[in-house]
Amino acid sequence: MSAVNQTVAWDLTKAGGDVVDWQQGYVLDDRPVARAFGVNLRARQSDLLDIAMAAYVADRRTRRWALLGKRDMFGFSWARRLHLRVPVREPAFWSDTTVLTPLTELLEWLTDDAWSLEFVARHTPGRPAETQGHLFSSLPRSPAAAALFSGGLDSLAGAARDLDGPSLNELVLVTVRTNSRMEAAQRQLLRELRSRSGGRVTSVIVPLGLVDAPDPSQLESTQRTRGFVFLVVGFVTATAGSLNELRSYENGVGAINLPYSAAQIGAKSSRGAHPATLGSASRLFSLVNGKAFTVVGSNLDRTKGELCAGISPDFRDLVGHTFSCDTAFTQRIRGSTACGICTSCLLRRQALWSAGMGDLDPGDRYRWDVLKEDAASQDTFPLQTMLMQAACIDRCLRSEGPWQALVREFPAVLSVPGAEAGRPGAREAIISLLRRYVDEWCRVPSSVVSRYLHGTREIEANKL
Amino acid sequence: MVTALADTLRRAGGCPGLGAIAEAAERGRAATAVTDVQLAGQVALRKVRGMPAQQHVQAALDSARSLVSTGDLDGLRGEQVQRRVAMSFLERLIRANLLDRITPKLMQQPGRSLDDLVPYMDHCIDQADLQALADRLLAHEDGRGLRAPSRRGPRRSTRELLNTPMGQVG
Repeated sequence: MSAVNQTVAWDLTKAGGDVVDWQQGYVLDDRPVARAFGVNLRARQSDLLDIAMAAYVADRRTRRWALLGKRDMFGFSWARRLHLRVPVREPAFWSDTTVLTPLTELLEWLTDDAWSLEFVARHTPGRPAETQGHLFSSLPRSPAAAALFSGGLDSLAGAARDLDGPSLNELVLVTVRTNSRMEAAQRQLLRELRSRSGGRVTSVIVPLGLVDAPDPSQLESTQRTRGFVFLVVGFVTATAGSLNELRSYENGVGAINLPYSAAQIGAKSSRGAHPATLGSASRLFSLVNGKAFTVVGSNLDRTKGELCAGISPDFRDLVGHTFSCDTAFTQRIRGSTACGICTSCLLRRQALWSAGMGDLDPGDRYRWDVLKEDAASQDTFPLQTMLMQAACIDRCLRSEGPWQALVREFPAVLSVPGAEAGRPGAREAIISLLRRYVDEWCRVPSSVVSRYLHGTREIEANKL
Repeated sequence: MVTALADTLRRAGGCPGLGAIAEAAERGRAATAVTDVQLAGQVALRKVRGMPAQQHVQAALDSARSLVSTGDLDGLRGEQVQRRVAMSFLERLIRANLLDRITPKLMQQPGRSLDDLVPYMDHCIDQADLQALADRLLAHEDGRGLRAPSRRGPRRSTRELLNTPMGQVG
C-alpha cells in the first residue's frame, strides 16, 4: 500500500441558483432562516453556509477506507486529504489566514482529515435568502435565545428546561432536516413545544440533503462534518435574529464522548458537540460575525439521565416522540423506529431507566431489545462495549488518583478545555460527571450490566 | 505480537515526529506544562495529515500528553523519557489493534470480570519486548527499515503455546 493517501479535489465553483445546488447535486434551502425574522442573510453568513455545505459534500462523497476497504482493520485509510475550491462572495476575507487557519483547524479537529481550502469569487447571483425583500422584520422578543434542536432526547430536555421558567420570551429552535421522515417527527415536537410554552417557540427548519444520491453504501457514513453544518446553520440563524449566542443541549458525557476502545483514536470518536469544538466554533463565528459570538454547551455539566430526570411533567409525554437512533431514519424499515443496538439507542435507554422513566422505554420500540434476558449474545456486543468503557471509567474513579488513572486510560479527556491546564474545578467536574454516569448504568435492569458493573460496586440495582 | 506491531508500523509509515514529541515531553515535564508537547504534536500531525501514519502520531501525542500530565515521567531523563514515551505509544497501539478488540469476547466467558482481565492484558503487554522495539522505532521514525527485535526464546508450535501458562510464554 502507498504510505500517502491520495488527495481528493472538489471543485464547487459551478454552485449557485435558487438553492445551493452543487454540481454534485446538493441542496440547502436557507430561506426559512431569512423568513423567520424578515431579514436578508449577509454575505459572510451565506458564504459560511456554502463553505459548510462544500465540506459536507466532500465528506459524504469521499469514502474513508477506500484505500483498503474492509481489509483496513487498523484504519490506515481513515484520514483523507481533501481539497475544496469554493466560490464565495468575499474571497479575500476567507483567504486571510486569521480566518482560514481557525476554519481549517476546526475541520481537521472534527474530521481528522487534511483540508486545503481555496476560495474564488462567486459570480452567480445571491440566493433568495440574501436578496428577497421583506416587508417587516420580526426579530425575537427579548430576552430570547437560540438553540440547536435535533429532535433527540437531549434537545427536548434542554428546550423544556429553557421553557420551564419565564426567563425567556422567545426560544428559537434551529433544526436541520435531512429526510422527510425525520422532519415529520421534528415538526410534531416543535408544534407541541410551541403550544405548551404559550407560543414562545420559533422553529427554523433548514432542509438539506444530497440530490440524486448514490446508494447509501457509496456514501461516507461517519459524517464528521455534520456537526459543523449544524453549528453553522445555528450560527447563521442566531445572528439573523440578532442574537449573539447559540445553545447546544448535548449532555456532558455525550459531548466529551470518550472513546469506547483504544482503537478509537482522534476523531473516530465524534467531536460534534465536544466542548473544544464549541470553543473553536465560537472563535470562528466571532470573526465572521465581526463581534463576539458564543456557542454555549448549556448541559455539559449533566448526564443524559439527569437531563431526562429534569424534564417537567408538562413536557414528559413528549419523550416518546423524540428519536435517538443513528440509523432509524436511513434504513427505512417498516414498523420500527429505532435499532436498539447503536450507542445512541443504548445511551437513551440508559438515561431513561436511570431517570426512573423506564415506562417511556418500551422494549418493543426497538428492533433489538438488548435489555431482554434472552437477547442474543451477538446483539449485546455494542452494549458490552459501552459497559466495558463504563467499567474502565469505574476502575479509574475507584483508584487512589482518579484523575491520573482517567488520563492514563482516556488521554482524550485532556482535550476538554481547562482539564489539561488544571483550571480550578475542571477536573473535579469531569470526575463527578463520569461518576454519576457510571452510577446511572447500575440502574439499568439488565443482567449484562450487572456482569460488568455490579460485581465491583455496591449500587442498589433497583434504586429507582 | 512485536513482529506484527513492527510490520504494522512499517506499512503505515511509522510514527514521524515521535522523537520530537518525546523531547517536548521532557521539556514539558521540566516546566510542568504540556504546551511544548502539544506544539510538537501539532507540528508532527500537520506533516502526516491524511496519511496512514496520522493515527500513530495522534496516539503518540496522546501518550505523551498523558505521561506529562500524570507525572509518570518524573525521575526520568533524556533517553529514558524518549523510550518511555515510545513504549507508552506502542502499548497503546497493542491495545488499539489487538487487546481492546478481543476483550468483549473474553468477557463473554462465564465468570470473567474486568478485574481479572486487566491484569491479564497488562501481563500480555509486559511479556512483549517493547523496549527494544521502542528504541528501533525512535531510530526509524518513518517506519522504513524497522524490524522487530529477534525472538528471545525458541520457536514453539501453536499447540505447545496454547498449553503453556501465560507466565511461562516468553
